[in-house]
Amino acid sequence: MRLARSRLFPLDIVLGSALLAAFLLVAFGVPLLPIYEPYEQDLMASLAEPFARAGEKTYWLGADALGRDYLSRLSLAARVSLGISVVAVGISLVMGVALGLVAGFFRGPIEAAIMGLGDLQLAIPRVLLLIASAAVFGSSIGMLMLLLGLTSWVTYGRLARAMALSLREREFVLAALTQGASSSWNIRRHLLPNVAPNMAIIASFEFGQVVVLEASLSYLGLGVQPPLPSLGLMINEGQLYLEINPWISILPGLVIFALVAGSQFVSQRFTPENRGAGLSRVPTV
Amino acid sequence: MMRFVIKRVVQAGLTIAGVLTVGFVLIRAAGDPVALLLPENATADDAARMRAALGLDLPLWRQYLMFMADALRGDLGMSFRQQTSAVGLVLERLPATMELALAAFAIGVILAFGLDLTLRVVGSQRLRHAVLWVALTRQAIPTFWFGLLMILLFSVTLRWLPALGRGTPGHLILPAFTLGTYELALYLRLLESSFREQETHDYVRTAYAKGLGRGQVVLREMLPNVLLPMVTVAGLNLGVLLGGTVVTETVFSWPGVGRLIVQAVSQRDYPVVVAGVLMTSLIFVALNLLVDLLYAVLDPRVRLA
Repeated sequence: MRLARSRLFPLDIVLGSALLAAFLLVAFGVPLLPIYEPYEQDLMASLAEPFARAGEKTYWLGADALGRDYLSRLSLAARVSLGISVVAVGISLVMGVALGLVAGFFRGPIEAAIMGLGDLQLAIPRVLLLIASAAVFGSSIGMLMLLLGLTSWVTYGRLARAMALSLREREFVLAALTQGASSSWNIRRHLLPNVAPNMAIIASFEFGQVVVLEASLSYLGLGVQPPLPSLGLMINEGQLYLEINPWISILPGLVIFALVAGSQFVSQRFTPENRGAGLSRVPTV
Repeated sequence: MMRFVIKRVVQAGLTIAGVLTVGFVLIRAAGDPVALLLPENATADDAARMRAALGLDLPLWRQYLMFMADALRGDLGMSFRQQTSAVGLVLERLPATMELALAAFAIGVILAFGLDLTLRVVGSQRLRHAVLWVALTRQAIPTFWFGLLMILLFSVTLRWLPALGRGTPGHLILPAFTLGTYELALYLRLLESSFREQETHDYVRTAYAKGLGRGQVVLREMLPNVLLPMVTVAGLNLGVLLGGTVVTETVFSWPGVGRLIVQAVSQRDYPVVVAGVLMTSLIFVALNLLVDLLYAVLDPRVRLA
């Protein structure tokens, strides 16, 4: 272990970066290729296997049931899933930090209300809460981002509050208060910079989980709706053809894995050892 | 002890009230069910009569009180699609979900402790880290995709095990294994961080210094200290497990609560969706209460604090 730590390029960083690079290549490199046609249908190519030729075209990764080039679909789906997850993580990060800092700084009934809401949310398994709210509020892309964000703020909120509790007693905060600085100035200028690094670490862990959650919802038919592709949705569609062409469900899973494993391997490196926070973080599905 | 029990029970009661309130909000946000329930040629009079029968013409706060009172009696409304109570439908499916969850939990916990303790006592550290890497990798694989790969390998290619449905013990193997490996990964990593935390304590060094072997230090000195916090974390992880059953049941067409919820969503049968979500959450809250009380029995520091 000590050896692994002292090396210039530790295994997890190398592996994680390689996986992330592979994902980014699929997501943003493929559209530059001349073969990029995510909506073009050719029923002659329906369920084509990887490297199959149909007419003039070669389908590098095969085609789906409607004969759409699978590599192009994967690329578009990768960007859809990435976009949803990034925005969702952003929403939960901002919301969690804001609520946590306010709760920890002001204490009293505000704190009780905010943390009570968080406890309540944790009492309902996250997947189930998401399924129920997506069923009720619909699953447009914007709603999906919002719901994923709103159901994921508690982790940030709890740590931000805990840190704010000790920060608010520190001399630099008290000094600012005695000189007439407002609460909001203190929260913005004194608390926020101090909690920011830890919040970034949590966000990097949460990111992988949000990606999996989005994929699960889309797999269940409650996330991204056709004709837009998403990685989870493509796995769902492929399940029908498991015996004819298993690649249709295997490939999107590989893309999800590259993104999730890549971000987790890299972010794991930045968790303080022994805190256990990173190793024991409770993922979702 | 009594004070702790009362405090914790009251807390759980408040949480349950909160969960039920969330259910009420969801049901109301789903919109007017009358349009869904009545045939197309129904008149405005029919609609008004139905609203009155369902209590939808009352002010919101009275609807809320009625909902809560009904819920306390175990009534979360009627299914829109089948003329039975939503709670009844969920209860019907509960044994299948419990079977799957318990099997997965057992696989995960037994394998995790077996592997970790064996490797810790007799094995090399390198091997244990390799196992941890596999666990980390499993956690980055979405459960539903892992399940599909299992079906592809064991049902489609090798034809060893049935892929879909429930019935024979053979049907349980793939879904339980799919969900169980996730639990396994979770507990392996938890054990690792708990043991690593214990290793920093003086009593471990003392134990080695007085000549105890590794097996004795790990099993007799450290394990009891590792077990205690694990109980709490295991309780919290039950939420992950219960959530995981939803996806796993869908992949394997396992006739449990999760599949019922997903099917009810596609039929816009909101009372069943809400009943499924609420009852799963209630089980989760109840189990956590149990875990906390158990913890207080095991560790006096908790109930005295």
